Amino acid sequence: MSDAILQANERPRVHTEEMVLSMGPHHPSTHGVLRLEVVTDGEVVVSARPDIGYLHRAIEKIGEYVDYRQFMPYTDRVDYICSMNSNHAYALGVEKLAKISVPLRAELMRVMVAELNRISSHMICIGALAMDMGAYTPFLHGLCHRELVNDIFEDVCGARLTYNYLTIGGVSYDAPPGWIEKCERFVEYLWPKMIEFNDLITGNTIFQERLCRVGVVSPEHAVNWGLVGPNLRGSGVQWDVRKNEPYSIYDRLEFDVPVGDGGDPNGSNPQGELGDSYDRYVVRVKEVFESLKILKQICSMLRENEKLPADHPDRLYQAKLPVRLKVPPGECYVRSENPRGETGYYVISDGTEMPLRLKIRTGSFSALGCFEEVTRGLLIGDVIAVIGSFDIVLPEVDR
Amino acid sequence: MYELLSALQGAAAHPAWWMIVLAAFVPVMVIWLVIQGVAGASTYVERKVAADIQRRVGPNQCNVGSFFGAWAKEVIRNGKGAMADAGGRFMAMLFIPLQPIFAMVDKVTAKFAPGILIFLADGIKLIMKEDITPKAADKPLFKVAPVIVLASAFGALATLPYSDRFYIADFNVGLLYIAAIASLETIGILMAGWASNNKWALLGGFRSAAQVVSYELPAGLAILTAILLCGTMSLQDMTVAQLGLGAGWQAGWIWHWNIFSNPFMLILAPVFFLAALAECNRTPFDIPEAESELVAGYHTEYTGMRFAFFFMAEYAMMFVVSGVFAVIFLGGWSTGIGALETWDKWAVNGDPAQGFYWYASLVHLLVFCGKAYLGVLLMMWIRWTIPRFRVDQMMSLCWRKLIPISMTCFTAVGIWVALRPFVVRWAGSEAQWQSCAGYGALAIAVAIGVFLVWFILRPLTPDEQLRRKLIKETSIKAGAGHGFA
Repeated sequence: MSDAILQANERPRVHTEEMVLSMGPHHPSTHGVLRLEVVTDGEVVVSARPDIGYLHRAIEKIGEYVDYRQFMPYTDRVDYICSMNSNHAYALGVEKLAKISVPLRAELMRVMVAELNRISSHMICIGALAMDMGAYTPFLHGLCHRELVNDIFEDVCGARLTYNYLTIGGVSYDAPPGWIEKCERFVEYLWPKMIEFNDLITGNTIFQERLCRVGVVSPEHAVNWGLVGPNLRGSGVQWDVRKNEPYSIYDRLEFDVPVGDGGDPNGSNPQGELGDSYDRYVVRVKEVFESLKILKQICSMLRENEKLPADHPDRLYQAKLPVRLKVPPGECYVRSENPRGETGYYVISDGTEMPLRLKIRTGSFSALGCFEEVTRGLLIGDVIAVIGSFDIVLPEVDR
Repeated sequence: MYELLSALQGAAAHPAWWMIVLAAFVPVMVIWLVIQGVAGASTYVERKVAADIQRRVGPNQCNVGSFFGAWAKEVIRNGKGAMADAGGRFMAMLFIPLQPIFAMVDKVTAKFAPGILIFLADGIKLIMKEDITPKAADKPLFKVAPVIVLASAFGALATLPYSDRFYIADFNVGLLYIAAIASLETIGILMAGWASNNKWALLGGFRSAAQVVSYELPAGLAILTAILLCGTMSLQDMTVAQLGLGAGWQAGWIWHWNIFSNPFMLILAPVFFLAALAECNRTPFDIPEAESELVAGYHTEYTGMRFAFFFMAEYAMMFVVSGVFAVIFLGGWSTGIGALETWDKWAVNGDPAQGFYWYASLVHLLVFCGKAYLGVLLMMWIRWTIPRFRVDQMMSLCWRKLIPISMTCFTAVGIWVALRPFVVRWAGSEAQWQSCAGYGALAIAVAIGVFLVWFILRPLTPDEQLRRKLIKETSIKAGAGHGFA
């Protein structure tokens, strides 16, 4: 058998030429304005070099010219799929630097909207990945569930995409009447719907064959390339900022951190390899269930909180802060767990109303860093799978 | 067609001149109408099926009355809209007295088939769109490619046996002709891919060539097996052969259909269906036009009516391959009810001397179209449910699974056919063998029924119980009852 393969390899190969394909910036499945310079030999990808910068808006530079509160709407636009989480990361940074303590109710509301937004972000990711693999229906199912999250957000802050809901020291508005019941109903609704979603696509043989053993990132490589979030956990590395460096009230909540289990015969990915695209996908699906668990706990905590007298300090949804917020000189780096992984805000203050420097670290950017390495030698269809499974959001890359 | 006309005219020694003219022109118009009807209806059905699967409403605005009524109103009141010239205004004036009728029709169609005229709106849109030929394209090839693709579907529709009397052409090499002309589509697709001067289109064209050439083999082997079993290549004769005439009370019953005639045909049917899916470039084999990989594949550069030609050809082709599936496996236009097929007021064996029963022909026409359309519906269901294969997986499925299976079945059916005379001699007579086979088929049907009953009533594992409970209770409680969809 092995002799036959050797002989086949020794045969003179047909002369082929490489072709340069410009995939994007208006390709249907580069998830935004990403351009890939793909060199192919027939269907085989020789190299796929990401070309970024089509969406650069100098958000970090704008941060130096607006005051701390005014920068909050810009964080919405850093990653518009999960604006709440971006808001949260920035608010954490400024609050740490200015030593502002946030009331309990505000923390609860923050975690609530952050987890809801994690769900809606993962819905887009897993749905779009299924659509990239040629199954259109799961995408619409995902969007259908996401609409309900948008309804919940519209009730609490009036916006459906860029919320600008969190402020320095709390949240903009308190929960309207009936909002907590709505969230509880959403949790009840989504749990069986996610089981239905799994029946539809996660267990599909074609879907698994398309994703298993495609775009493998080993745990060592994942750490070395600086992958974060579900991409890192998909490679089997147990790292979640919510667990390992708890911020806000995550240390009081019970939830698991799902990691990829490719190659494990009893795992969800028996025919795969640790760190393949399917592992990254399954980690996101499991995270939706974990977020639902968190939401359940937060709902009951909010109900407890409602029982407190109205003037109790824990019932405030905003800390009382001066209108002109001045942050003492210094610098700090704060990270938080976003749907696309660790998002870090590095803030330097010189004691004025505006930051001296603001640096944002995002997950999609580091995922694109290893893209060329991961996709070498794959087929054109696999490149799409890798883009989808890394869950790249381009405004987050270009900023 | 000619036979149909001569039946209408009565027994005449010499054909009249108008019969020859009609026999030439009517079939062309009929095929054109069939293509239009099938493609139009299929786009509507496809949208509705997709909407149902995706929890959407689907098209619901373009109803019969409102379609013409709104157009007429727009043209007369505002002088705008499609065909808003003098002729258009005259036509619109004609519509005014019909308004109450439109309103009534609207009520009915809006209830049973909302948005049914969406395909007309689509067609008008596609006709009015600019026809763009890229500057660097190979112009003659670019322009002729969609015509070739449509022509191949057009040609293949001609030989389908729609009913015992209604067919356009019935040759003795019908199946060979269909296999040949259906693969002409690939040449058109390859031309489109090459002539567009677009790398995505080129990749799509190459993928299509590789795919269709590969999947012709299992499809061809399945067709060959059916030919072996029935001993004819004519689609009409194959259908008649599946009536099992001359088997006494057994004649015409469902177990004479090829798919039930032996176990190997039962295995071969899904193989042929998969290969047919691949030949139509439908999901999970829509690799040549994979919209998430190759933008739109071979028709990336096409606009307007030229794009519509590819589109119509796809739907017509779906109907053709489902029709062929119905003929070679499901008994063509046969109803499968022996008592009906052997009734003497029912034309059965194509002998004009027996007379022409128009109602029998009509029922057969409906039965055939129903069988063919079931295949089309199955293709739609598959398209909106499962993802698409990768190129190498598609090839390995064909060469390593489907071809060996169909080859084995072909050999086994050959042995089956060769052994049949001995079995018949052992059974005593053909009729006795047929009734043996009938009882066998009945026994298998009963066994399948028993299995299905067990499957429905079987004890559930705790996992399944939990899942069912969750979906049943929480969906109803949290979903419908509380304002969530």
